[in-house]
Amino acid sequence: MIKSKIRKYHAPVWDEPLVMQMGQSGRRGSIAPKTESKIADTVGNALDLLPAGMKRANPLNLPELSEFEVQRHYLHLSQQTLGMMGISLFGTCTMKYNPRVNERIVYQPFVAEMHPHQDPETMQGILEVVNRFDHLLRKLSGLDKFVFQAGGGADAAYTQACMTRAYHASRGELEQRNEIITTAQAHPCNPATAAAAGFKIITLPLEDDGFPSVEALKAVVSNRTAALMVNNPDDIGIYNPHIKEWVKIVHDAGGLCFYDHANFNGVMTRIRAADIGFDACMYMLHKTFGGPKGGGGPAVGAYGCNEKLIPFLAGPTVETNADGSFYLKEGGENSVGRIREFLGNIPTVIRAYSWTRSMGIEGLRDAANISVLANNYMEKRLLEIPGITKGMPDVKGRRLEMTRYSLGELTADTGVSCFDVQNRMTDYGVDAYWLSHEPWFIPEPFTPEAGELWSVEDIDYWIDVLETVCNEARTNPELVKTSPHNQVVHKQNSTNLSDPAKWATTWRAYKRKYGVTN
Amino acid sequence: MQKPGVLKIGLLINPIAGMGGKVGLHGTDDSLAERAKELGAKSASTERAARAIKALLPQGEKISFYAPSKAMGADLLQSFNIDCQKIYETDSLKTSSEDTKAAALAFQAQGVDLILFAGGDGTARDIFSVVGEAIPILGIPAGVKMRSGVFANYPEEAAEIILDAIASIESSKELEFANTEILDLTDSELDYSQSHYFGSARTFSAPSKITSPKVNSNASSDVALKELAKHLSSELAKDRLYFFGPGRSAKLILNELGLTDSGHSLAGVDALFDGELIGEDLDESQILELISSHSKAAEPFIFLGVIGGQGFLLGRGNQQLSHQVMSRIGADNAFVLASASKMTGTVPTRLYVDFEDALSKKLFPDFIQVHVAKNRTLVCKVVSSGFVPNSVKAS
Repeated sequence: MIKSKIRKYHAPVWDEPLVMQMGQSGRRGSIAPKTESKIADTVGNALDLLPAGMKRANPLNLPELSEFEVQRHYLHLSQQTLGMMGISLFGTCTMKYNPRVNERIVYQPFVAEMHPHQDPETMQGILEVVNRFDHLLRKLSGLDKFVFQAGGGADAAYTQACMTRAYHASRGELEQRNEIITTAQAHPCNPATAAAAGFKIITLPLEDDGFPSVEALKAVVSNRTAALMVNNPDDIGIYNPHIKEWVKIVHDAGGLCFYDHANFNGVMTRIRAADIGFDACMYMLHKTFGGPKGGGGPAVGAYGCNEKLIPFLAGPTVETNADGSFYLKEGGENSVGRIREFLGNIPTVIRAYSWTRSMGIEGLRDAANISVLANNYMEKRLLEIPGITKGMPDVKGRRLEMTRYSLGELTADTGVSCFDVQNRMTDYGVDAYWLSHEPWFIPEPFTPEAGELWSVEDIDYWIDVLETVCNEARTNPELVKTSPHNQVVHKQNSTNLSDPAKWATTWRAYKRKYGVTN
Repeated sequence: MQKPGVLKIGLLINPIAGMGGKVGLHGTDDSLAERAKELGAKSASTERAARAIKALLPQGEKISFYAPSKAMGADLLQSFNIDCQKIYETDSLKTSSEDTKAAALAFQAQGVDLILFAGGDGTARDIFSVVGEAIPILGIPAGVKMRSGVFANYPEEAAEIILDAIASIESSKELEFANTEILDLTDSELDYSQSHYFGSARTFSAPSKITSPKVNSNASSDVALKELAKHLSSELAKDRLYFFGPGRSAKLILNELGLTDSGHSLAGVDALFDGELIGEDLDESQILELISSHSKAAEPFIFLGVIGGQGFLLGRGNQQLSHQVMSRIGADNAFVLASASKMTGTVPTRLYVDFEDALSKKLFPDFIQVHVAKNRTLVCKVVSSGFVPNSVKAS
């Protein structure tokens, strides 16, 4: 039953040309004053001071606009931003607010103006933050050392694949141990990075109870097993209760065990990777620890491991001198070498450290509890909406921080797909939901996740919008199928999306492919 | 829909169904039946129907049976001492598609609750052409190809579905039905990888016991599978006899070797030795002969595909790969390849093995790896006929 008053919404539509197509030849934002004659007489032509090799032969093809036009253009673009403007329950990612105070910290000169080649003695504060955050994550995971070089979760998974290679090579077993085992519900970065590191991939299927069987694992574990790479709970919210046995089976066969804990939200302070027996784990700082979602830029995959694997870590690592000061130690002879340049995205490590310290252990526990509670609250309301069913409905027990649902019944009744509903919800100022990772064994899937950020009013409103759209699907399916109608852009014709002759991601490519001259 | 505890079942057996399988005929529609008999094929559908009826015996008194005479149903029921009402007289052994349609019409006149038939896609189509969605249809799998979504995985499971229905009626629960696809090859061609849609029939809603309709192959558009096929084609040993099962996936390897022309049948089993195709569209006895005549070479090896959407590895459309053949080759020498999307569309993922000649003889381990790309496998649980399918649920 819809609880809220559904508000009117319409996004601004400016329909402006590209910035390259605006303005007039010769128009300028600001004009530098002419060189005074006395200076010119003394110095000569300023251009002559430049080495010939540095002079540009042809002028840059830049847009020519006044300062006001530029400001207006970017203001309009910001108004047309599609993400995080409304309520965003984008599952598997845990949408979190990034406190502004943390942005203020990382904009300070002692962070923003650091140079990575500075002498470590002059960056003791930064190294201390890295060291402290390393210790915080050790406490939360039970592992023995964390590094922050990896530029995201997949990069951290790749770190693990490289560490696995280095570990078995050091024991002379690499040629024999060339198989990595994962599951159909592990994030695709696990098999992908393991394959990139040269391993064969064995994927275990889910059984009726929502996770692969111990028997299936036993059937494929052997002296060829290099490692197990899994997440738990997986991103349909189901926790594999046999995970300790899994780790034991793989360890007994001589393999390593890696815990993909990219989304740690539902189990923070509840379970620790090392207690279950894992050799290593990974946390994505933007999913759990308050870092910003970066669109591929400023992410960090925090990678932690136990003593056994420390010799293989990528250098440089931050170490403590006897006097309490810090130094950088390059990787030893068994190190996998660099995963990324320098120490990784230090500003995001600082944000995450600040976030974690402000939360405290009690705060983290509350956040985990709230995220599970919010998900189960949502589940109760969502399943009351006709046409929505729970993914793997026969699996008993409560889901953790997220649940995957199916709109399959709604689609069968109305022809409206999960994509159509996703589009239409944005017409109400709600951000598009997450559907599902591959493979899609749940028809017409969607996966909301509330985390600890969203208030009960926000969660209710999101559900109300979804219910409104489901009602529309029954009364006016065409309205939903042709949506969005109130958004910055309307339904796109996707036929050319995979045609390289048609797409253009730069102005130069656009001119070439569409025959534009300017 | 009926008074409590009584289910009216129309039983129909297509006695010639499935006869083409082992002799490599891909079906027994029309004239193929005669050819199958000439080649020494036996009627398997009666035996398969018997397995289902036997499993129904404990609740036999709760069912009213209706059946055509003789081999089309009445004889079998009589052998179990089950009374039935004869609804149609057939002409002894020579039954045809017309008999099936006439019997279906008679079932409809009797107002049966369910038509239980033993046959293949052709039989399903014939019944469907008469009753449409009006009467639920449940198939005891007994054909060569069974692409339609009305067949139980095994004869015993057809019985289980009916027993569940009786239990539901007795506890006053509504029976659950679902619409499903009637699929078959077209009459004119034998393009094994594509099915043609003939309509939407009603059957029981029992997803774990009823084989899903076949999904058309996407093997030729799966680049990862193509790369795997290319890799495999470069690794074939000279001194080894290789077999290639029906379907697009296994044939991709032959494509890479340039050994398939446009007329090459996807439906058959082919053999390769020393880089040359030495047999095409082989039947069971020809396969066994080749294995014997190459006994001095390395152990024979087979590449097998999986029927999309249905999960059948053996026993559907490849009956020439009998238990006898497969035990000569050995499970260790069977390499299963399929596109990842074919294997991951359903949970749980199962591979079915249904040997007519070897109930309860287990050839494959409980789990095997299906290759979906070079260096990439999916682990699948194998369910073999005769190995109580209930154990699947228990695990």
